[in-house]
Amino acid sequence: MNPTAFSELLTDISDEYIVSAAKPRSKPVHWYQISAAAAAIVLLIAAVVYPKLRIQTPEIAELSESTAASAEVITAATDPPDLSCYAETQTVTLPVQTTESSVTVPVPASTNVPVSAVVTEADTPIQTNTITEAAPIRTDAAVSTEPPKTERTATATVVPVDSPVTTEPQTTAIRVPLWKGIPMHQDDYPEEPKPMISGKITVCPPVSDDEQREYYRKAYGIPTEYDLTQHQCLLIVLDTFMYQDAAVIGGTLTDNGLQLKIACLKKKNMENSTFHFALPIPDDLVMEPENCTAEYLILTDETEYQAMLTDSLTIEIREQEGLQ
Amino acid sequence: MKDQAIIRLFEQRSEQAISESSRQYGALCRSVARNITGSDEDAEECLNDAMLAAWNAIPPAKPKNFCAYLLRLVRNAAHDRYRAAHTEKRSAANLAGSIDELEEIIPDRGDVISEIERREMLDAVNAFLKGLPQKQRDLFVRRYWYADSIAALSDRFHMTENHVTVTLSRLRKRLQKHLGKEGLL
Repeated sequence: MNPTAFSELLTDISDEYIVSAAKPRSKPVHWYQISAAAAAIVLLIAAVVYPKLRIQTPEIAELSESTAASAEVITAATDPPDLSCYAETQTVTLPVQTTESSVTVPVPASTNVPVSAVVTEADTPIQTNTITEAAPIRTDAAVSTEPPKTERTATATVVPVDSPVTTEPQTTAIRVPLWKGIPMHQDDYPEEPKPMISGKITVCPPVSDDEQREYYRKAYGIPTEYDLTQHQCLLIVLDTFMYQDAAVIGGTLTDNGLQLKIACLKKKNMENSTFHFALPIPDDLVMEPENCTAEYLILTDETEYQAMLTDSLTIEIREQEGLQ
Repeated sequence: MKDQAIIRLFEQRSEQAISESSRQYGALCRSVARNITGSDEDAEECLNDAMLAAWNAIPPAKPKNFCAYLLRLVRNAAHDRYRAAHTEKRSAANLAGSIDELEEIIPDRGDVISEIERREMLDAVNAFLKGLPQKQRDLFVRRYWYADSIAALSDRFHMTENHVTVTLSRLRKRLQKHLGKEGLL
C-alpha cells in the first residue's frame, strides 16, 4: 500500500465522520471573557445608579410642599458635652405620625455626639411624638455641658400611614442634666442678681458678667464648661425652711410653661436652708419666669425620698394642637 | 430540501434532483474537489462527474446519507483527476501535502493489497477515528479526507497553524501505532 492508495481508502470511512467534519465549527466561548464583561457592566451600572439612590434618600425637604410647609420640626439636640460626668449614652427616638405620612427619626445621641430629635407635624393631624432623652442627674458641681439645642434637621423616613386623625395631645419627654449646688443658710446668701424669687423658678439669660457667672456656678453648681454667655439656664431656688433635702424629680413642659416636680424631705428640727438647682435650657426655647411653677411632694420618710431620686431627670413635653 | 426528497427526485428521474443536489451540497463538493485537484475547473468537472455518477447509481442505490454519498463520489472523481495530473507531474493542491504526510506512516512499498486487507485497513481506521475526541477526529478528517490546508484548518478550528501541525503529527503517530497494533503495517 502506498499513501495515495491509503488516501483513497479513507474515502470509504464512516459517513458519520464525513458529515461531522463538514459541519461548521462555532468559535469556542471564553467564559472568563463573558464573566469579566458581565462584572464590568454590573460595576458600571452600580457606579451610575448608586449615587442616584443616595440622592433619593427621603428627607424632610423632599416631602410634599403642603406637608413641608406645615411641618413643624422640633429638635432637641445636645452637643456632646464632655462629658465625663455622664455615665450613660443618650438616645432619642422619634416616631412621628402624620395624616399623610409617618416620619421616624432615629437620632443617635450620646454624651459626645450631638443629639437631635426631629418631629414633623402635618397641618391637619394631631400627632403623637415621643422623644426620650436620657442623661444622668448630677449632684455635684463639676462638669458642664452645652444646652439642648433646637435646630431644623431633616433626616427622616417617610411612610404613608392610614391611621385616623387624632386629637390627643402630643407628648414628648426629654431628659436633661440637673445640677445641684450646696445647701446654704439664709445668712450665707451672697448677693444674687435679679430676678430671683425664692421658692420659685426663674430663667437665667445669657450672662456676660464674670462675677455674676461665677456666682451662678458656685451657687447652682453649674459646671464651668457650660458657657453662660451663650446659653440660657433655668434656675431653681428652693427655700426649704423645714426640709432636710430637696430634689427635682420630674417636670412637664407645655405651651403654658414648665411645671417641675420637686420632692422635699422634711426634717425633724426646724432649720432654714435653701437649695439651688439649675437646668440647661434650649437656646431657642422661650420660657418666662412667671410661666415656671413647681409642684412639691413633701416626704418625711428618708427611704421613700431616696427612692424618688433618679439618675436622670425626665421632662415631659406636651403640646396640644388642633386641626388646621 | 431534505436528502430523502432529493433521493426521491432521483428515483423519479427528475432533473430537479441534480439542481437540488447542486444547490444543497454544490459548494461543499466543489471545495473538496478543489482541495484535491487544486483547480476550480477540475473541481467543477468533478462535481459534474459526481452528479452523473449519482444519477446513474440512484436507483437502485438508496444511500442512507446522501451528503456523505455525494461527497464520496466527488472525492473519488477528484482523486481520479488528481492521479491523472500526478502522473503528468502537474499535481497541485492540498492533497499532495496530505499524502506526503501520510507517507510517514504508510510507506510506499508498491504492493497491491487485496479487498480483504483493504476492508481490514478501513475498519482499523474507523476504529481509530471512533476512539478520538470529536475535535481531533474532525481535524484528522478535514485534513486527510477533505484535504483542507493547514491555514484553512487553523481558521476553521480556531487554532494556530503550529498547533494544527503538531496535533496532526501526533494523530498520525497514534494512527501508525494503532495500525501497527492491528498488524496492518
